[in-house]
Amino acid sequence: MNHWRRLVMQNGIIMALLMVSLPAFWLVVMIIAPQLMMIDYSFWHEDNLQLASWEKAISEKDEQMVDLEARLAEQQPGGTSAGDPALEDQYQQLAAEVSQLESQADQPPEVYSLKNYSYLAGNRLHRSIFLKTIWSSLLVTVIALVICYPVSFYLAQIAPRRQAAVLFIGLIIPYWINEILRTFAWLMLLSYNGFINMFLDSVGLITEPIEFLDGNAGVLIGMTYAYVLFMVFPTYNLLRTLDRNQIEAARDLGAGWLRIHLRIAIPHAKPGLAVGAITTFMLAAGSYAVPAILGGPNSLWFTQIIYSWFFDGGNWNQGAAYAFMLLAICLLFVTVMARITGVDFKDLTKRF
Amino acid sequence: MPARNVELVHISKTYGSLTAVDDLNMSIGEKGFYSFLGPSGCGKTTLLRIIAGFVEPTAGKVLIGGKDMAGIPPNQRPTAMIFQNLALFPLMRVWENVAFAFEVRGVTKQRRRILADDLLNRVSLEGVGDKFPHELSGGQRQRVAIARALAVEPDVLLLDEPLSALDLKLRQRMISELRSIQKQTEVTFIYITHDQGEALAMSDQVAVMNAGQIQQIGSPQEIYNQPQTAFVATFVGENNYFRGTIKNVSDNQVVLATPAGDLKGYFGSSEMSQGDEAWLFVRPERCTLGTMENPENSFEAPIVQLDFDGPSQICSLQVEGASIQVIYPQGMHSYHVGDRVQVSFRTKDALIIPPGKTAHD
Repeated sequence: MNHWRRLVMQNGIIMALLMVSLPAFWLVVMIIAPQLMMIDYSFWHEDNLQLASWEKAISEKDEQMVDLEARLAEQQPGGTSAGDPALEDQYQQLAAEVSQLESQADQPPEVYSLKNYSYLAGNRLHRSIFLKTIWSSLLVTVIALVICYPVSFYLAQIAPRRQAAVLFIGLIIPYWINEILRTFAWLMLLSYNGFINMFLDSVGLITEPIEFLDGNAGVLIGMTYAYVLFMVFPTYNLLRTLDRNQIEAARDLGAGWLRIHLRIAIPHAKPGLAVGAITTFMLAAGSYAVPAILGGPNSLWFTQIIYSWFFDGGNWNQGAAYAFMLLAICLLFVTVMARITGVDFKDLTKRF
Repeated sequence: MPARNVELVHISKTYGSLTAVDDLNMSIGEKGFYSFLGPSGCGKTTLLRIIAGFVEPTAGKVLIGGKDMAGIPPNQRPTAMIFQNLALFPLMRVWENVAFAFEVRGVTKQRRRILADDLLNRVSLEGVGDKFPHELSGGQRQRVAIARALAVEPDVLLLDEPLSALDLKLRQRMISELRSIQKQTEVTFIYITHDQGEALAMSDQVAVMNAGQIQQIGSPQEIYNQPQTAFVATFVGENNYFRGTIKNVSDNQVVLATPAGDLKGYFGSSEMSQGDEAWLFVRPERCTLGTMENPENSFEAPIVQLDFDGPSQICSLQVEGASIQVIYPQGMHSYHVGDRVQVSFRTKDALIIPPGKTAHD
């Protein structure tokens, strides 16, 4: 209540309402509700056996009704007065039963089970694609770390201010173009008849073009490129706050550059690197466009399978289970990363 | 015993069109406490960083123990630096901070801990080894920084205004502690400060710097009592000064014609002749108020302000063309603002120096 009053005092009632309601809307409507729905979806499936038995019962009853109609028609060729009331009743009852069954079959029963998950565990192809997706995302994260740290350090600590600004613009501008176009640019570079092969061929380094896009190489390159900046930003931000005196003090005490990085700069940048690693891993594991464009038939990404469950297979429940598994692994990754690097996320919120 | 003297030979450092250090020469002896005193931007920090090896001089050379330091990186010089903000490593425990130099040299962890605790004892910081720097008080952090620097067993310890962040009481205590650490370790201390109180209290020798040049080198007493330039006279301590023309020179005693009348004094380091423009400096605590029998120098002036300063009273008077301050013990006089009083001082307390840049310019 006090917080609310302070918020109103500092920002006015309209801003305060916006500040509270927008995040609340975002949290509840965009995150919590769909996730809960998806989790619910993932735990049930339509009972197809029950459905089949109902459909069988409907067709049997339909036949009986046709039969009854025929008998009623025999009794009353003129069809002017009422026939045998017993038959008439029987007919009415059948009709009611059929309509009830039909309405039941329209909404097949939801059976709660772990079937959707056990299906993933039991499907060898899907399982291996799932594991490969996790493994490749880890690989992308590691490659991004290796690229990101020196770049961030250079920008934050070494580059003169003007140069750093120019380099930063150079890094950001490509990201103004959307991910799909950027990925297509990589397709042009990496494809069988692409620029890189053309170049390597023209300088005589290769005689046969290299199949970058056949395996995972294209996907890894494309993804690292697509997401590395999300790691550079938080790392750069933290390295900017590293007091240059600390580096000089370490140097003065005899430390070489490797020790300065290992003992001073990297520990300082660790929360940034961790945030960047988490972001990159999440984005990579959840990427759809990059593997769809740069991946060959041998490098299916788990997201593509989820997509096909939802939109090709029409089985939302199975798709939801798959998506939830991916989310669970990503959350596990965040927790493990935080544990390994000793980053306290509460502490992190204080730093920014 | 390693030689611990530092020779600065024609050192210059320019940044573009800006000259930070301007053809500076100085010889710093062994086992002493040396201070560079000057206003911010006078080039003293640049000079310290040149000695440490973080900055290459544009011209000139640094000799430490007779050895030319050109091209020798900071970690291979027999110096250690204490930074203005101390630059303790915040993510390491105190003992790890102190033991960093041992870690670099590959000393085992067990031994490092022993050596670190030993150093911490030397700066009277027992039992804080396992804390983090942010858990310590300002004074304790200060001592950790000293212990960390002493770990490399430097011949010369360079201190870049490390006391500036401390409050007055703590600063006074640290001044005497630094002094005793210097005596005890026999390391040459080179101390940079803009605070004349620190410089005068701690140093064996003080070099007053302005605009990249050394104005005067001397003991604190010399600096205070016999300033050689107008800058030193006005930067170190408070000083009253009268502008005038030399009327008469005899036996070193000089008569200066000033707007406040003829005043007598002695030449400082540079002698001038009749007709030259000169300034007469006299310290506020050397002036007396009130009517005196046969004063050597005196004039009358109205009091414009009285300031309470604890043990003493600061009295400001308006003299033609100058503002004069007189300091006297609390309760000695009971003047009021507006009173016209006689100000007098002894000829031996008045110093006559050529005009120049003052610290207030």
